[in-house]
Amino acid sequence: MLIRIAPGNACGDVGEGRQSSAAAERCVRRLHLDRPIVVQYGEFVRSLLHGELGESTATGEPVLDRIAVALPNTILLVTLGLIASTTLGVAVAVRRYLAATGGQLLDALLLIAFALPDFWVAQVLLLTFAFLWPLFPPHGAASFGADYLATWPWLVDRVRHLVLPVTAITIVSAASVARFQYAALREVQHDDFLRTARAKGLGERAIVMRHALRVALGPVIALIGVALPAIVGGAVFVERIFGWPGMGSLIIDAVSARDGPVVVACLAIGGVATALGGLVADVLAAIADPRLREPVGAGGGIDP
Amino acid sequence: MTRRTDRAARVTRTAAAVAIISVSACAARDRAAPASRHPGGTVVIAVPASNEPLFPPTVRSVATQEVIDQLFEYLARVDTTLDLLDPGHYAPQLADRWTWSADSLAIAFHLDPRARWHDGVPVRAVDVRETYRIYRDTTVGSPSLDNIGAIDSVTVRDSLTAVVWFSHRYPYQFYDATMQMYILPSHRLAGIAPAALRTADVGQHPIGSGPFRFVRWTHGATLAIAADTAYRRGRPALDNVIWASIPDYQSGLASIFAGDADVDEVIHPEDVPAITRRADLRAVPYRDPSYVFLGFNLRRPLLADRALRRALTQALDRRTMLRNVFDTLAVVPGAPITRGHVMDDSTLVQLPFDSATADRTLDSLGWRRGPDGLRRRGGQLLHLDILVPTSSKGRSRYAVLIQAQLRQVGVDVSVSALEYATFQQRTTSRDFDSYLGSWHIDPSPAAVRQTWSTSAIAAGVNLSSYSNPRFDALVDSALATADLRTARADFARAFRVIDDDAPAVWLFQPLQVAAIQRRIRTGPLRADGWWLTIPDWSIPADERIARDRIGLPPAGQ
Amino acid sequence: MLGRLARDPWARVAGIGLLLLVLVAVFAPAIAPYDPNRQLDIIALKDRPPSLAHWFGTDPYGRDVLSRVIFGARISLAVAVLAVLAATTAGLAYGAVAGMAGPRTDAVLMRVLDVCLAVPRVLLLVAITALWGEISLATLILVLGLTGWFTLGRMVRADVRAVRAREFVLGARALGASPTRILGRHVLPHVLSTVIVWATLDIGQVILLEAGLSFLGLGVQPPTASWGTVMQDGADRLAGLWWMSVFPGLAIVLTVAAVALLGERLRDALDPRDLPHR
Repeated sequence: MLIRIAPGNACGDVGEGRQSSAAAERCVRRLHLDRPIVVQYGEFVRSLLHGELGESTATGEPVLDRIAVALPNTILLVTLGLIASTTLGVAVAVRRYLAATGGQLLDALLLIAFALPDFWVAQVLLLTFAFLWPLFPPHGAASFGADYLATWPWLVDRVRHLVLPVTAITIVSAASVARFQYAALREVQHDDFLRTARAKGLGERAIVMRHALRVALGPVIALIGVALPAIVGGAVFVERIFGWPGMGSLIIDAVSARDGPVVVACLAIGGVATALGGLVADVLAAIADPRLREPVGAGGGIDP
Repeated sequence: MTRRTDRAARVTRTAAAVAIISVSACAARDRAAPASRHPGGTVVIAVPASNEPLFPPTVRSVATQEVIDQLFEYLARVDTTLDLLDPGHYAPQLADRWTWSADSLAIAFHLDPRARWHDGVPVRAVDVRETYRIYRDTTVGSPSLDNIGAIDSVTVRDSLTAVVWFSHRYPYQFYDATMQMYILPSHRLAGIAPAALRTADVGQHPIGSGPFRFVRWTHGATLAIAADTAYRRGRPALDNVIWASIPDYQSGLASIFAGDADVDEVIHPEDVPAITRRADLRAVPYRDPSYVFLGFNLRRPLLADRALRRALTQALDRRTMLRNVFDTLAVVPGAPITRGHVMDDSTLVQLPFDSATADRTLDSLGWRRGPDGLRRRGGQLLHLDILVPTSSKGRSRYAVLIQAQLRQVGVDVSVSALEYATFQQRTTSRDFDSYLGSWHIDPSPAAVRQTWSTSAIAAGVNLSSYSNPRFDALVDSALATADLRTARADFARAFRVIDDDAPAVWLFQPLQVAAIQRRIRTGPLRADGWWLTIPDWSIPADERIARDRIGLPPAGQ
Repeated sequence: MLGRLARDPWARVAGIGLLLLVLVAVFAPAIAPYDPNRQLDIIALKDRPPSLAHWFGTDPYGRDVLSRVIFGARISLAVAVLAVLAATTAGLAYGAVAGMAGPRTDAVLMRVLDVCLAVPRVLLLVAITALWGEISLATLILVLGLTGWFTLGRMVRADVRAVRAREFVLGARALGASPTRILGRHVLPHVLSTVIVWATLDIGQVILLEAGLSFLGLGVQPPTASWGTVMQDGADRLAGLWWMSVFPGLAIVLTVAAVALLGERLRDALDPRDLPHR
């Protein structure tokens, strides 16, 4: 709705001298921009629910088509990024938790990694691995003409194109996950578990590991709900720099082409997808919770 | 005497350029192996996407023309000497021979009987007649309309002979008869109203007679063509040519480096060393008859003021900007024509850099400097917006340089960097203060009229809306004269008029360098369009990569 | 509390560093050797690597990079601080209203917040900045601020509700104090620590966002120097102009790291609560 109110709305941009006035009028009428804002919003929601997203003013294709092409690419990138950064982040957090010495160094490194701008990381990766030491392709999701390749080379081609963007996303997100996880881990009482574990005759190291992992998993799922919007957002810069044909590139291209319908649709889809992701995470957390609570109680802590 | 000397000089110059290019191309080949006789190969060309329909009469952008030249043909095309004035220097295309009438007011073209359209229908003289009718139709809106003004009519003598009739004699008759119109398939266009042709399906799925046929166009992504195996002169060695859309210059470079693209036609001088360092890439210089200018929109009240435009021009130090962006690999044009063109006068300079005079002029126009250094008049800030396409690194650089230079004389400049297709849209709808535009100039000097005359305004080419009857008259008389020396004198006078009026500032004409993957054997590139020799390109069988082996798409696709 | 903070060596380092940065930003015209927008000599001084005359080198337009980074600090910091200020105001207001409101209003307000939270901030930023047309600094600050207050709104509301339930508040209500009085005297001081911590952390976020937007051409417009635009100017060379990427990048990283560190130490000192941020 905010988009509609902003000066220079989709047809306003399109209308004032950019197209013939007749075309602009048609456009305005089609997008109901001449009706009051509330009616517009209602129309928008209605057409959204019907799956009509209008046509892109830049290429003339239906918006749905362009999104249908871009969305899977972003989902692929974001999912892989999420998995990779969560795994790496939790691993690093556990390592930090268990570390007796060198913890400060790790803290500092994590802080630096957290402060890195994602587009900078992407740029550095691009320069290093695509130009200086050309190991990976710097652009796109697949090579031109990849459609004609046999299955195995096609797969290899896709994977090679994935490496750099996913790495870029992972580096920054993992740092954030790690710091969050570490903070969560720190809160738990270390000593009680050790006492109970020793009383039970288990090796200290093993018990600490198991305990740490168990505690770590709890917040992770909740973390996903929070990290997801961040990763999707960060993906925008990464997609732009690596030319990854996903929603991020789509919205930026649409924005520089003043393509209102596409931008609005991207926002809507982006919001919906992220909310869904968060919802799934919440549900998973609710399911996981009772399971988690049991072992913690049984393993020690407040056991008499 | 003068004429022959000129021609000889031109030929020598062109031949020298061609020789240099071919020598460097030869040197680039590390094997002496001849090009393989086995056809095959896919060439991917990285270009900014253009949304123009593939309809020859309305084509305005070079990106689209590259495709058109593979799919469609002229009656005849000038050979590599680029000597437009001598019909003996033309190679047959759709016409295999021609005869002049005794009074030189008509040329009869005999069509190659083997010529076929891509759907199998034979090319006939009626196609030539209908083509002319379509180009001539004002509702079609062809930018070439003006250029064929001297052609009275085209008639059909028999099924394979078409006659072009002229209203008067002039030096460029043969050129206008042959190279202004791509011959269109009349059987596909019949029944479509001329005004609807541009948006009709023929522009999305073109049928031509050229060595390549259209395959598929995914807007904003790729445009693919394939060799026509039934082409009468033998199919091209390549299987497929694909134009892949790049959002900006950097991505184009990245694609070339990654091997995703095979040809990147504009490599900035700063990036050439990186290309030459790679074993799999060649940096190929070629003469690109195009120049870049800062065009003002004369319909804006601010810019309708001639004195203001002159001041803005004088405030720009074009030579220094050129050195910064291109070092020595470009020149500043002195007129709306490329250096080295037959009608160019190399002594012309447009309003030399003189910031002191610019300052004085602006002062006298009432624009007073405020405390921030910017000028205002009656409370209004002296502001100029410049449109730039992100696809051009050179122009993007110039925008920032111009912004700083104009600020020094108190003009506030904002830069609007747009994606190429949006840039096209904004400029053609004349929604700009000023823009950094580029024209690719035909070897024919009629290009000057086509780009800056009053009639070019309606044709949607003269986007500045510059109109000066004196300029029009001088250009018209220059184009009508049979004598080359008079023509050149007339043009020189015309150029002085437009230079003084300053509807635009001529900025640079680059020596272009393209990056081409080594495995592609291109031979020497033509000075009037590097893409014109694509039908002769080949890739040796032992150097082919995965996408070269995909073969031809099935017919009927 | 703050005393504990001052004794923490890392917090001290971060604090001093930030203070220095603020001083540099404020006194930029005095410190910077050249005018950041002045194209000194577009031929001789084009793309010069770092040297004695130009510690951070020059850019493709002959401008001194050190000066641009110094003035960039001004822009980047100003934008971030002002944006966060805007966000804080909005978040505080919204959260306070939601916290003090009846259950139904509160539910509605929270649902709206959930919707807003769902949209990734960057997407929203990209869309709004570009559709708005002319991207002036003021617009940029406004947009950055107005897209970031959602989390704060939620936290403030939670805090407000928690405080409301406490005894002394109930007591005050029993004595007939008006809601605004309760808000002002009892609730807000407790919420303040949350707000301060959040604001500090968000400054880092906004710096990163502004840099990213400027890098894409959607933030600060040329020729104004901000850390993001300096990096963008040097981006179109293949590994050639390292000084244009390294120095502003380093500036960003150090600033954001310092801010994050300070924010965390502040949080630990003021109120040990988890803030899953970023």
